[in-house]
Amino acid sequence: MTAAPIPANERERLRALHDLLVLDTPPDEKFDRVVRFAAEQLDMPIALVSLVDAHRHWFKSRIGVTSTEFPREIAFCAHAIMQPDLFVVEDAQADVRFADNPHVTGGPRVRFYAGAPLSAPGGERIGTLCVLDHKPRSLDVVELATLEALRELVNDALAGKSEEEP
Amino acid sequence: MKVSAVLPAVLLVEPQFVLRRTIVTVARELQLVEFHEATSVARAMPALVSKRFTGMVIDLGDGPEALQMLEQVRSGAFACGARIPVIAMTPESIASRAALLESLGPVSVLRKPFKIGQLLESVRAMAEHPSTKP
Repeated sequence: MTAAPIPANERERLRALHDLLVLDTPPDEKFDRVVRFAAEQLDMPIALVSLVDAHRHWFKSRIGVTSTEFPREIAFCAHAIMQPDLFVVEDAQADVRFADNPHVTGGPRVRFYAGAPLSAPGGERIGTLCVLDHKPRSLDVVELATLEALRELVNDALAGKSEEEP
Repeated sequence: MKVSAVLPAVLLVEPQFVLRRTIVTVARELQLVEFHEATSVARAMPALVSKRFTGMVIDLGDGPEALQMLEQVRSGAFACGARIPVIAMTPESIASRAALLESLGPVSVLRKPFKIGQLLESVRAMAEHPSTKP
C-alpha cells in the first residue's frame, strides 16, 4: 500500500480547512442533498463529503458508511487532494497503491473510487466529494461532468455562498 | 470550463436546486446548450416574454401552473413562438393531467427521478428538432 502523501502546502492547507469551522459539525442538508444526488445519479452505494484533516479524514456528509472518520494514511481522498482534477481508481484490487489497503481488503471492500477535490476559498485542496463502489467500474463523460458539477456546489456550500435563485 | 461557441438558448424551469444547477453545469461543460434557469413558472414568464428561446425543459410539479404556461406557449403568446420544442419533467404520477400534457405536444416526457444523461440525450435530440432550425 502506498501511504497517503502529504501535500507541500500542508500547513496552509490545514489552516484553511480549520478556518472553515466545519470539522466535527452536525450534518447539514446543504451537503447531504448533494451526496444523495451523487449516489443516485452515479448509482453508487457510497458517497461522501470527506475533509482531510492532519491525521484523519472526516465526513461532513456520508451515505453507505457508518463511521464518521477514518485514519488519513489509508484514505483514498488523501491521494485525491494531491491534484486538482478528478482522481479515479477503477479497480483498487488491481492498483498497487491500494490493493492491500484495509478499505479494499476489508471494511467497505472498496473496488472503485472517484474523488473530486474540494477547495477552500483560497484554493487549498481540503477534501473531496467522492463516490465509491464495491465493484470495479468506470464513469462516462456525463457522469464525470456530473461529479465535477456537484463538486462546485459543495465548494460553494463550504464557502458559505448562498443559493440565490436566478 | 471550456470557452463556448454560441449555443442554443434553452429555458430550464426546475425548482430543485441541486438538480437544476447540475443540469446547467453539465450541459455547458459538454457544449450542448446554454440553459437559462428559472426556479418557478412565475420566474420563467418574464424570460419567455423577453427572450426567443429555441427550446424549453420544464418541471410540471404538482400544481397547474406549468401546464397553463405551456398552453400559453402553444397559443403563441411568447417570443419563442408556438412550436418551440418542449421537454417535460414529471412527478411519478401525472395521470390526471396526462391527456392535457399530450395535447400540448412535448417532444419528450421524463419521469423523475431520471439520470442527467437521459435528460441531456433528450436535449440533444431537441436541439436537432426541425423547429429549432432557422
